[in-house]
Amino acid sequence: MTTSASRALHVVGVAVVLAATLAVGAGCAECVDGADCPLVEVCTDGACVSAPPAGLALVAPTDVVDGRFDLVVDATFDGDQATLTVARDGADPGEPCLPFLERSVVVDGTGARSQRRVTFADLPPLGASFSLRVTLVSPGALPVERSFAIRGPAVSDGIGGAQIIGPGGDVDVDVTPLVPLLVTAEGPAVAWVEPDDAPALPRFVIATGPGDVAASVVLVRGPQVVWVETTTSSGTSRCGRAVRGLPAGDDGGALDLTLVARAADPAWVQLSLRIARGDDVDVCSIDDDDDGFCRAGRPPAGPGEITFEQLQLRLDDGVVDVGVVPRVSVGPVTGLVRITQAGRHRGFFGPFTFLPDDGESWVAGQVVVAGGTVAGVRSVDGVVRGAPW
Amino acid sequence: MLQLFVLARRGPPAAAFALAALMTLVGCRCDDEPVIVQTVDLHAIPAVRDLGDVPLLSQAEAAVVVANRGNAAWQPATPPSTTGEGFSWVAGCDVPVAPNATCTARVRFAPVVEDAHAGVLTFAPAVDSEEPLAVPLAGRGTAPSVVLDPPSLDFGDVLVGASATLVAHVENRGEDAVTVPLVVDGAFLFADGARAAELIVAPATTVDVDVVFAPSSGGPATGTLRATTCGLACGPLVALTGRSTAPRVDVQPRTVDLGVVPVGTTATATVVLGNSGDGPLEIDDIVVVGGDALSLQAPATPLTIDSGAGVDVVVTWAPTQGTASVDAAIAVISSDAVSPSVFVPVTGSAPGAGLDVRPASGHLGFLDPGEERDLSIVARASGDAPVHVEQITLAGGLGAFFLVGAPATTTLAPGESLQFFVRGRADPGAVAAGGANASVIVHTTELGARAVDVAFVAGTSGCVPRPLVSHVALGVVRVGEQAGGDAVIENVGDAACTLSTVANGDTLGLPGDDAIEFNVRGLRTLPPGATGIVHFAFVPTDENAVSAVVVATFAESVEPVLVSASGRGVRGGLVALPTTVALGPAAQGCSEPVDATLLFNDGSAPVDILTIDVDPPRGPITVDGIALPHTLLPGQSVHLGLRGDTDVEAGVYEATVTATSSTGDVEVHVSLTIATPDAPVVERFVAAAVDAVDILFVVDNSPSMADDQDLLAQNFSSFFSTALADRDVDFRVGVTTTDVLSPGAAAGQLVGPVLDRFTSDLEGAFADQVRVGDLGSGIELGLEALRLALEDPAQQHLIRDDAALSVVFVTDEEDTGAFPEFLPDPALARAPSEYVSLLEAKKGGALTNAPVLVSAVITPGFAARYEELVDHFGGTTLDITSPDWGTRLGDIGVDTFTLARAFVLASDARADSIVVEVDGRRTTAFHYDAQRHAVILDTTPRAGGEVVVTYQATCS
Repeated sequence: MTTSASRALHVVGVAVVLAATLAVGAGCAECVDGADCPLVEVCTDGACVSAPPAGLALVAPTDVVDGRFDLVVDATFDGDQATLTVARDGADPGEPCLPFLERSVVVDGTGARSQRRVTFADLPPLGASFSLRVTLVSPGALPVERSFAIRGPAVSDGIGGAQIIGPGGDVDVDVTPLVPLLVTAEGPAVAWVEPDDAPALPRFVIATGPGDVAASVVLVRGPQVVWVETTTSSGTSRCGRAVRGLPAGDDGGALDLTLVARAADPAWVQLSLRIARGDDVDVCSIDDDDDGFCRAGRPPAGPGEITFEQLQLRLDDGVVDVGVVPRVSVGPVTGLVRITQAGRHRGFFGPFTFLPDDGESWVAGQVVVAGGTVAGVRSVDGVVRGAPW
Repeated sequence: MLQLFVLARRGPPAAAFALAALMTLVGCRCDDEPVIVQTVDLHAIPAVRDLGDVPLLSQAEAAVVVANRGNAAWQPATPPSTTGEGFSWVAGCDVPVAPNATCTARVRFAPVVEDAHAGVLTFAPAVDSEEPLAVPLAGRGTAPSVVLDPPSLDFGDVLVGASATLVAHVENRGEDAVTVPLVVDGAFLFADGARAAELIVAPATTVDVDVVFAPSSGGPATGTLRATTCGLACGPLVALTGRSTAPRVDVQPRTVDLGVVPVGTTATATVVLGNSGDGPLEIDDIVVVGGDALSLQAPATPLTIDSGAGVDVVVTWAPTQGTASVDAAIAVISSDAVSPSVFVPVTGSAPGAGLDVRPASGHLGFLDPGEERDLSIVARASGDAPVHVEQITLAGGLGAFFLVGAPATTTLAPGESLQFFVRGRADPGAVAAGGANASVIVHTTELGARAVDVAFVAGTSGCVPRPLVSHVALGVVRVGEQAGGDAVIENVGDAACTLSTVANGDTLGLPGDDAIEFNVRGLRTLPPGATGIVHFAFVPTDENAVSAVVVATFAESVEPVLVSASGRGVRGGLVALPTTVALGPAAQGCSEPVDATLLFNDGSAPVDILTIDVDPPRGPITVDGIALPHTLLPGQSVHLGLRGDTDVEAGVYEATVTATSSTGDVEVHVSLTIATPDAPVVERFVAAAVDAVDILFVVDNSPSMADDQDLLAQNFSSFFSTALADRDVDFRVGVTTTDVLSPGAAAGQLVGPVLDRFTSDLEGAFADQVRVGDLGSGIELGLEALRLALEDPAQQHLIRDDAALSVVFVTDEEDTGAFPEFLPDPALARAPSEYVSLLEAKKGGALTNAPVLVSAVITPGFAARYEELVDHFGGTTLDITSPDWGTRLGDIGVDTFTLARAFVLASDARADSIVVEVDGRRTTAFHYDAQRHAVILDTTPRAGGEVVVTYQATCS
């Protein structure tokens, strides 16, 4: 009887013979392209050889920058493309209250050794002396990091006034859309979140005097800055902290709506969406998400002083009415709905206070989807007794 | 290789054939090689093919096999062919045939006249010079048996999305009933939406068939209706034609840019809404979405636009303040099947500062005296210039409003916004005035002042129903267990309230779950200061979080009262039994009410209880301490005592007890009701749907029990006399043993089927079951047997959610749980109080009155664990050493079979103070059992009837 093991040996044997035949008869071709070679090797003349190191060289700035500036580097790499990322260098970060949002660009290669000039445009200076770290990742080569020291203008008087301890770095805002904001403020202070490509969320007072402050802020997906503005006898100054809201994926282009609700007593409210596509009208909620176009992000958690809820919609053209309905009779509740599409923050509804204990639902707003993208976001901010639809 | 053909011919055979000889020369020296003559010798089988009688409009097929008996391959130069009207070659014998091989050709006969037909099927020869192989064909056309009529159907113009129906007739001209398979294709369907159908048509009859034309796209359409009597593409047919017309919405331009529109001016743009299709276009709606300040002039909808026509839609914008960008769209909803929704983006801007303050007005609802509520206000710079907020002030409100988090001054850059709160407080002045209102004013340098009106309602004038406990958190409940709790509604007004309706929140469209049910008590009329209850019961069926809202409306009050409950099911890990505990009502200054919950490890791994906290921490509700961390092995539990301080003001207090553990947190929600010493205590009950009681006998089956089992069996009538005399009593009886350890022990399972009134020979069956034998373990664990019997009641069909429960122990020994050293598993040595908690958890959450009674036939003084349960539930103890205990079983029987009529009070009552009302009518047909502190009605109230007991609590 032939066992599977003996068959496997037989196949391997044949493969070895074939390989040997190829090696001898076909001029010992080890590879066709870099995909046939181990990491950090490239395919050259049919053989895998060590990849020459990718390279990064600073082109500009070469002198002191006096305002926003372009960082220009020459990138040398093998392969079809490379990704370059510029970030603040933690070893020489400059002024901590000047935020820097990490940026990435993808450049095409030729498949062989290529050199490309890459410009990161309109970067903010981070103080009189700071460094930016550029990372080059190309296929088949170890990532290359270079830190470039840059001299900039002295920090202006309007920067500072507070020390932001948290949040910072990457935050999974689908798990914790509301995060602690820990600040040491030199005076009365307000805070707000400014997404990279959308209007800022509202400012709110976090401190009425100097001292340590613990507040909480709603973060969005994508890059953003948490700002704290402090007023002291010498004037008003700002301190910012760059944060990246994860997940960074585009959800397949879906429309993502996340509700963050806060109440003095444990309350429970629920997102309710009405989707009108021509004559077809569907309603979606976390309890009714099985129609194929709407998906709940997580199971309902029940009442709490802070509750989250997430729904993802297939991006069909139409109008999405966004409402929030009571599940228990506790109020008032202040809600905020975060709108994300294809991984990009597109806006928000609220903050808005309504009264679930009076049976009130919040008619938050409308999202217009046309041509497969969010064409408009309109706040309604009304209330109705009972479900809005 | 060179081939040389040498041809030979034999004499003419019956069937024509060809003989081909091939001489092959191998290599160049052919004169040295042998000559091999190669031949192709074809034969047709049969030599003549008769396809028989075929009805007109039908066809038949037949096969002709060709055999090559030569020694060379036959390679036909052309495919087979036919001559003769009605015959055709279908397939086969058009590829080479090896020596001594065959091929099969199929020939079709479709008669064209009702007469004999003749033809020939011809196969090409091996070489052109040879004669082909010819097979004569024959057949006869007969009268058609299935006929479709008319030969064609024209549906004319039909709109896409609409449909038209025409009728075809299927006639059977034969002499037998036939099943006619029918198919349609193209954009055509049968009436049921299918494309295939079968009809049984009797001889010499005609059946009508509806054919539907339902186009989904525009243009001409063709198809067939065919009776496939002779194959998929064969049989009589009706040609189907139609033309589908499709309206197409067309909007020009596709985007509207209103440009830069200075404040105080007006911009307009016209959009032409047309129909470029070939059918009428129905317009259902034309609206602006995403732009409050835009107005639209459009024809009233619904409207119809004919093909090629159009209407104007004019959009107008007259900005009143700076607007960075209008982000709106004109939405057109139409009958265009391809694009039912069309959006025309509208953009524009108005230079200058703008401020958008939301909400436009705010209401804080009803505030109880002293209550505070916050309302969020957001001011956003909506223009393209900064807005300097000089100050934010309040106007009016008589001191009942405050600003929270409003900065003294700030500047908002375009797109930036500011959030702050206005707080309303129901101070005495506001309460006296019935509420308050004020304006929040945002003063700006560029735009002047913007105001938001805010208000709240307060006061005690008239009927003012308010939720004293608006939400009941039923906690994390073990799947299959039950939890219950009360929302309390109080009339804080100075006039009575009369209940109009009480309904589930789904009447308002609010979400809710069937796992939570409710009933109401004492809400029918609420005098000033009175309270009523909405009782919620939760039996989780899965691990989801669930909720329910109840809406109560009162005749004298415009505003409904909403109350709610929520809970979550859980399997495994740490669970609390029960998750809701009500302490009291207790009189102020009297002894503190005490109850408990069990923290139970329902999982398969040890659980460490890390912390136990009470929120609020310094309220009148406290928890008896246990050493922490506390490890619970699987199946183990710990008893957590709960106490209510009575030295507090009268009222309802609530607290949440949270136990954190290595497997998650559990919460127990505790309420404490304190009444003033002189005030009567009011307790409300809802009678069960039936006078139902479930009875569990736990009978000792250890050696020495045979006589007592006989005594129990012989005194059937003593125990059951009450039940047998009152046919309204709906009882169930089950029997288990005290043995949970021996191999084959009952371990809480019933020893026989559940017995009830309808059991045949009930007395005999009862006797058989209680004679459980005396071969059981000498480690009698009656209490553990009870726990196991309660563990999976559904499987045993004994214990019903809403029935009363009576447990009777019959044993001559103490429960061995008192002696842990004799037990193989320390988890079996539970405190009696744990079994009390389990029984209360089992019945405490029921919607209707479902009391528990525990009785015991034991050795008094030597069975403390059983006695503790009997004392707690106010049952009867009989002395098993007394020879006549059997005759006294009637005492337990009476208590058992009146149990559903027993209403157990939370406090000891002064007997002479008790007033009982049933459905609002006072009754004296009751007695008070001081031992059980229960009111027992003489008769069973109606199902769902409300029983209200008012009494003066004693301070014992």
